Amino acid sequence: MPSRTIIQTTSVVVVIALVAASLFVGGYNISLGNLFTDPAAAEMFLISRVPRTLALIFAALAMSISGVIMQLITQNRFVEPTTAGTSQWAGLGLLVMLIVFPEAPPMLRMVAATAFAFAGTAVFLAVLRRVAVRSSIIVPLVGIMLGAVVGAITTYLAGTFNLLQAMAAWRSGGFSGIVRGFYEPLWIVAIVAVVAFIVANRFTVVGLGRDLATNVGLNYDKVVLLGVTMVALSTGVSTVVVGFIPFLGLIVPNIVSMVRGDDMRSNLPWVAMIGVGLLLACDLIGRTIVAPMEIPASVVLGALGAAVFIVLVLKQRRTVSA
Amino acid sequence: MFDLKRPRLAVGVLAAGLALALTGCAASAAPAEESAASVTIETNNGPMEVPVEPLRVAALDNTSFATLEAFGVEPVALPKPLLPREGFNEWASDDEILDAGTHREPDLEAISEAAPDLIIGGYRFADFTDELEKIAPVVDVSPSDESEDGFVEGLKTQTTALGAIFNKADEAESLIAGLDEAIEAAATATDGESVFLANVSAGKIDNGAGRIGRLLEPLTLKDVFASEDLDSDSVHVDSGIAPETIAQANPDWMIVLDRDAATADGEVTPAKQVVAAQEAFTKTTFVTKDQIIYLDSYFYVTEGIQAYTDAFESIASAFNAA
Repeated sequence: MPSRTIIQTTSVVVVIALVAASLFVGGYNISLGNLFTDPAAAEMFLISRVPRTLALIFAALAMSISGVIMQLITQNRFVEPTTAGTSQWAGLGLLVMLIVFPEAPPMLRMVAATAFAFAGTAVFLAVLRRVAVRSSIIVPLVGIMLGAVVGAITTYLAGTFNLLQAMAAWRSGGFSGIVRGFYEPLWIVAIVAVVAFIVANRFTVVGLGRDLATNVGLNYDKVVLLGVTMVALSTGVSTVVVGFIPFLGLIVPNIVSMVRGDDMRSNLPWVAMIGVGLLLACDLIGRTIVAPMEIPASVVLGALGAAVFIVLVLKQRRTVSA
Repeated sequence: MFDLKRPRLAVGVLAAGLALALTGCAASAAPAEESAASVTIETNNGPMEVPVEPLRVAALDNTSFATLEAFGVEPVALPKPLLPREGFNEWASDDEILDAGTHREPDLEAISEAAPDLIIGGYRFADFTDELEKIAPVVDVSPSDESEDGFVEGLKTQTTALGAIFNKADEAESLIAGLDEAIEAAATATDGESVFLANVSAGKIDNGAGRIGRLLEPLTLKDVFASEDLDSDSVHVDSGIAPETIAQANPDWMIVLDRDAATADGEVTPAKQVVAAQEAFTKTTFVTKDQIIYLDSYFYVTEGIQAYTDAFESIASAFNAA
């Protein structure tokens, strides 16, 4: 299909352009010219621009790949870390750590957030197993409900322990403070992404359902466990480092599926790339429209994502009887 | 019974003040030691008749705490979570003083139980004035950015008003003289230097202009991020700023509000540590010349005339030493 080729080529070019823009747009005066002549500019490039761009790329990978995996595991197109409660559980884990062990090093906070994200995803899957009606709308509703309950508990605890503003600052998912020394844990996500590419086929089979997957010789439970672990790890780490990034895991896999169909292995590079492009674009909007101040990328994404979510739901209703 | 009696009594005292008739007091069965006099003061809601030396005072506006303490007034109810963890230990640990909760979740029942004759409201509690009015008369003499002469002048008006209510005009005058002296010293020491006003919260450095821009009112210092569309009403003032943007602005000085130190029970990453860890700042004037002023750890919750006097004194001494 030629139109598909055009779409794909265009998106590669656009994403490369966005990466370049992310490296050269910002509060400090860095241009292609002075990057090589001005040592101060070169240093700031390494301190601020490269880490921020990498953080954006990794966070986008974390959320969009998690979205794909969760959608296949639950066989539902509307599930992703923020609509299944995974992110909210990670947030609760982070807060619990702030309360019981405030001096904990970042690594330990991430362990806590990941453990909570894992438990939360398991709870979501367990609840789902007991829900009789599993239409495309009910499943994310269950997730959003669970997430809201966990979010409410988090807010209550934060209020009780006087951590509300700290939680708000962290929840708003901003990249404005990301510099060298703050984003490094996100490299874990890069590893998760590699693993996702390796085992992509198995997730595609999982997406066919437990019976079919078992019939073709797949250890269904093992693959689901692996998937949940990968999702928990990426969500936990990115939640601690940059906060909530809503809707990315939902929009991107759906857009890619609309264009390319449902093979996870061949879709994954596109999911990763479009996810990166979208988050970079949102961050660039956030850092330019109120410059020198910034709007967190997640806020821009939230506004955009809500609109796309509605479009997807309406489209889904027309094609599949919910 | 107590609860029923007190509000009536307060109304009685007010009426008595208006009529200047002692019999009015006797009619409402007030004890003899209750003050009969009243004074008209200018509040944020217009002129108001207030009893002089009220016996039972609920103090909700945290900017008034230090002044009340200096006047020897012990409140019957206080938002204890807003008390700085140092300096008000006697009030915090006194079970006779009821906890009014916070401005997010005020405990109106506790305030009512304390049966105040007068409530010193406003500032963080300004939204609850109507509800508080049902318990006792509410005076709002808090300093405000909206007031014509600005926040710092508002501190003086507040102190004068409190002096009139508690019959401590001399003490009030000396507090105001102290502030004027500190402002004078700071104004002499500064000469148009550029400054970045920082708010360190949850380990992130943000623009704190919305919160401490008031410090510049009587001084000639220039906020590097001050601009017409970034006045204190703008929602973007505190939404986020990249360290590289601050480095580009390269202010001569930085004044830091350490929000974490003031509020967090657990996670305290002192602002000094956060600023020192910021690689992007290493070449800036304020770092190389060590021109950083950290406001008192509790400035975020004190903010009264004493806190501002201290702040202006530390600005004066820092600039004189530079």
